[in-house]
Amino acid sequence: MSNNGTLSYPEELKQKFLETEDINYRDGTIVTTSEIWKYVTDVAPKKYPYAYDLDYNNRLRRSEDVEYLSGIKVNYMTLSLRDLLLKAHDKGIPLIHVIGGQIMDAYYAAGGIAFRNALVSQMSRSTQEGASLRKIAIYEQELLEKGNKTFSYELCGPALRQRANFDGHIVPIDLIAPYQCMRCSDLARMIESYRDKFPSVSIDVPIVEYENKEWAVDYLTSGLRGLTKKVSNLSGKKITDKDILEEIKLENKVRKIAREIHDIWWSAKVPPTNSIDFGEVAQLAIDFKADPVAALGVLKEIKEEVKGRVKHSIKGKGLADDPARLYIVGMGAGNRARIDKMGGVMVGTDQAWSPISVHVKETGDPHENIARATLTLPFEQPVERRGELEAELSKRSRADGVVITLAWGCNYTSASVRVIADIIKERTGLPTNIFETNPGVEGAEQLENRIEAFVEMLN
Amino acid sequence: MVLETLKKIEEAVKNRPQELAEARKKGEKVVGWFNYNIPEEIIHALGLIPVRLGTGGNDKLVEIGSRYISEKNCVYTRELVGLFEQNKDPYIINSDLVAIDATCLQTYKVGELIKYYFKVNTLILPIPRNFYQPEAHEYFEKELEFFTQKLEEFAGNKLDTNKLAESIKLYKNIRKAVKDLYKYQAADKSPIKWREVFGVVHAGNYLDREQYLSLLQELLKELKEKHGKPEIGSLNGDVRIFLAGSIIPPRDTKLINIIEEVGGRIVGDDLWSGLNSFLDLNIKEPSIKGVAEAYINRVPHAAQHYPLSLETDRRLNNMKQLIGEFKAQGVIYHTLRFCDPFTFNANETHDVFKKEDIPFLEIHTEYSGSDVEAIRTRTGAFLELIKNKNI
Ligand code: SF4
Ligand code: SF4
Repeated sequence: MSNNGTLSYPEELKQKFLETEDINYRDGTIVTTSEIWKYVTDVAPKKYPYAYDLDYNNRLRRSEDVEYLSGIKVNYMTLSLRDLLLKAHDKGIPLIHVIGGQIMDAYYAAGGIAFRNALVSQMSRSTQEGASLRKIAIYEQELLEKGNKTFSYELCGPALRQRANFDGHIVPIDLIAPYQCMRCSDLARMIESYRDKFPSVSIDVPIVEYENKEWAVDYLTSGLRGLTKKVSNLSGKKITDKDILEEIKLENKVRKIAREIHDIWWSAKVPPTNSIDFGEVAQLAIDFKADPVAALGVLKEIKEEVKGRVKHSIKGKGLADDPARLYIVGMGAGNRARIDKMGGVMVGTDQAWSPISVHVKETGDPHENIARATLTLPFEQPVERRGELEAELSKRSRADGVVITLAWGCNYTSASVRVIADIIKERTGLPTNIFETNPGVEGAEQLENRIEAFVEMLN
Repeated sequence: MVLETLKKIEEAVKNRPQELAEARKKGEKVVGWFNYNIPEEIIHALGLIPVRLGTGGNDKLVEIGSRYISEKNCVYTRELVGLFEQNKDPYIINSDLVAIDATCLQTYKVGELIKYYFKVNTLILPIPRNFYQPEAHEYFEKELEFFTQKLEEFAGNKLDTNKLAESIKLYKNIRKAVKDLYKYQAADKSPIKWREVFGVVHAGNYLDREQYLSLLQELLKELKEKHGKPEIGSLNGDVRIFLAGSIIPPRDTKLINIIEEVGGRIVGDDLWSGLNSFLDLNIKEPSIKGVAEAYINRVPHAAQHYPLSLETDRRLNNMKQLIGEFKAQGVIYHTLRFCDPFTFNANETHDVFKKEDIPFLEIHTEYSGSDVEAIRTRTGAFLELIKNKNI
C-alpha cells in the first residue's frame, strides 16, 4: 500500500481541462478532452492502479502535478499506449522494436510504428490489468529471470526483459530493427539469437572516428533504404522519397519544439515542472508515445503551459524551493519522484537529448539526410567528442551536478563512463558521480539510494 | 625430446624486445596492434614493423585496468588497459603507433581510453557489423583505404604494389606453415603438443615476419625428418579436446593447465589467438580492394554477429569442420565474464553440437584463481563423460 496516497484529478480542474485541445492522432482519430478526462479519472485508475500509487519508491508512478494540464494528456498517451498499438497492429501496421538512440523518421515514413525498450516494457506491464505496484514489481522480476534462463545473466536488464516479452509473445512485435552502434552491446546479440525465429533488420551505424567520411554516409544510407523497404513490405505502404521528406518535416517540428521547451525550462528561475513531467517532454519527442502527430499537438500545449509557468514563476509540484539540478548521463536515473523528494530536480538526460538535438535536412535524398543526421547524434560519438558535448549540455542546463548511470551488462557504455566523467569535471568543474546498477527492483533501489546521497551532498 | 627449433624460437622471442629497440634507434617504426582484423600485410609492405599486443591471465593488471575501464568489461580488455597504464610491456613501450580494429567494440573502447588517458598514438580501423552485405564490403574497402592513407603518412612512404604482393606472399606462407604445424600436434603420438604450437603462434605476434616464416619452415622440416608425415589414425585412448570461445592470449594458461592436469589432450582450437587467424584468408590481388575483400570474407569473429540462418553461419561451420579434421571428441567452450560476443552465443553453440552428438562444456571464467577448483571438477567430469561415451 502506498505511503503517500493515490493520484487523483480533482473535479474542479475538469472544466479547465475540457477547454484545452483534443488529441488528434495520425489515423484521423480525435480523442476529445472529455474522453481523456474520463480515461485518466475512471478507466486507467482501475486498469493500472500502480501508475496512480504515489509511493516515492514507485518508479512507475505518474506525476502528482495535477494542475499541469498538458501532463494529463501525456499520462493519457502513456496509459492508453497498449490500446493504440493493438489497434494499429490489427490494422496491419507493423510494430517495430528498436534500440540505439535513433531518430524514428525512417520507420514511421515506411508505415511502421517504432518503439524502444521503455515502451515495450510499458506495453508488457499493461497486460497486467488491475495489478498493484507490488504485483508489477514481481511481474517484472519474473520477466528478468525468464530472460536470464533463456539467454545469459550478463545481458543487460532492458534486453533481458525484452527477450522474455518476445519469447512469451506478450508484446506483438512484427520486426526487430535495432541500430548497431557504440552504445548497445546486447541487442545485436539478441537479434542474432532470434535468427530463423523472428524477422529482423540490423542497421549498421558506422564509427566516424576522424572526420566526416562520405563512405560512412553511403553505407548507412543503404542500410536505411533496406530498412524502409522491409518495413514498407510489411506495412503494404508504397513509399516514395516525398513521403519520407514529409515525415522528416513532421519529426523535425517535434524535435524543434522539444528543444525550445528545454531552452525555456532551463532559462527559468524556478523549475516550472517536476522531474517526471520534464522527463516526459524528451520522451514524447523521441518515442512520440507511438504517434508523432499526436505528440506534436501535445508538445505545442506543453510549450505554452511551460512558458506561462515560467512567466509567473510557478514551480513544478513536488519540488524543493531551490532544488539541486542534476544532469543525467547514460541509462537514466530510475525514480524521478525520489530525486525531487530529496531536494533535487532532473534537468536533462543525454540519452533523450541526443535524438532531439538533430535537425534532418528536408530536401534532397531523405535516406541520405537521415544517415547524415544519425552520424551526428551526440550519444553515439567517439568518447572524447561525446564527453565534450555532455560538458556543454550540463552547462547549458545549469546543472549543479552530473550523475552518470550505467546498466548492468551494457558493456560499451560501461567502458566510456570514466572518460566522460573526467571530461565533464575538467570542462565544468561540476561534481560528477558514476553509478552502476543491477537489473531488477533491488538494483534500481540501490541506484536511487546512491543518487539520493549525491543530491544530499549537493544540497 | 625437445625440438631444437622450438628452443631457437624461444631464444628469438627473448631477443626480440632488444631488436625492436635497436631498429627504432635506426629510424624504423613499430606498429603495435590489437583486436582481430588489422591487415598486417599492409603494415609490413609499408616497411613498418607489426607486433600484436595484449596478454592475459594477470589479475594485478586487470585490477589496474579496472580503474579506467569498468569491471563490467571483459578481463582481457581490462588487462590491456592495465598494460598500457603500467607501460612496462616491451612491445607496448616499443610501439610508435597502436592500430586497433573495431571488430569487438570492447577492444575499440580500449583504444579510446588509452588515447585519452595515456596519450597513446592510436589509429582505428572501423569494421562493418553487417559484414555479410555487399554494401559493407564497399564500405570496408573505403575504410581500409583511409586507414592505409594514415599509415602511409606515418610511414612516410606510399604503398607499393610489388611490396604488397611480396608481403601477401609472405603471410600466405606463414598461414600455410601454421596450418601444417597444427596437423602435427593433432597426430598420433604427436611429436609436438598443442600447447607448444600455441606458443609458436604467439611467437609470431612479435618476431620479424621473415624470420618467423623461416623458423616455422625449419620446425616443420625437423618434425618431418624426425617423425614423418602427421597422421591421425587410432585415437590412442586420449581424450581429444577442441578449445573454442573467447580469446586466450599469451600468458593466460589457467584453463589450458587444468585441461591437461585432468588428463585431457587439446588437439585443436578456433581461438582468435590460435588457429583462426590463419584460416580462409585468400588475398586474390595485391591491392587494398584485394586485402579488404579477403579480410571481410574470412571466418567471422563472434563479435561480428550474424543474424541470418544457422546453416550458413561460417563461424559455426568452421568449428564443426575443424573438430572433424582434428578428430576432437568434445568441445570446451571458454567464455570470459562480460565477453558478450562469445557468452551470448554459448547456448546456441551448445545446441548445435548437441545435435551433432558432440559433448560440449562451457567454462565461464576470468583471470582470478578463485574458480580453479570448480573448473577442475567440471572439466574432470566432462572428460570422464567423453571417456565413457567412447568405451
Ligand atoms: S542497456 Fe545498453 S546494452 Fe542494454 S539495450 Fe540498452 S543500450 Fe543496449
Ligand atoms: S571478444 Fe570477448 S574476450 Fe575478446 S575483447 Fe571482445 S569481449 Fe573481450
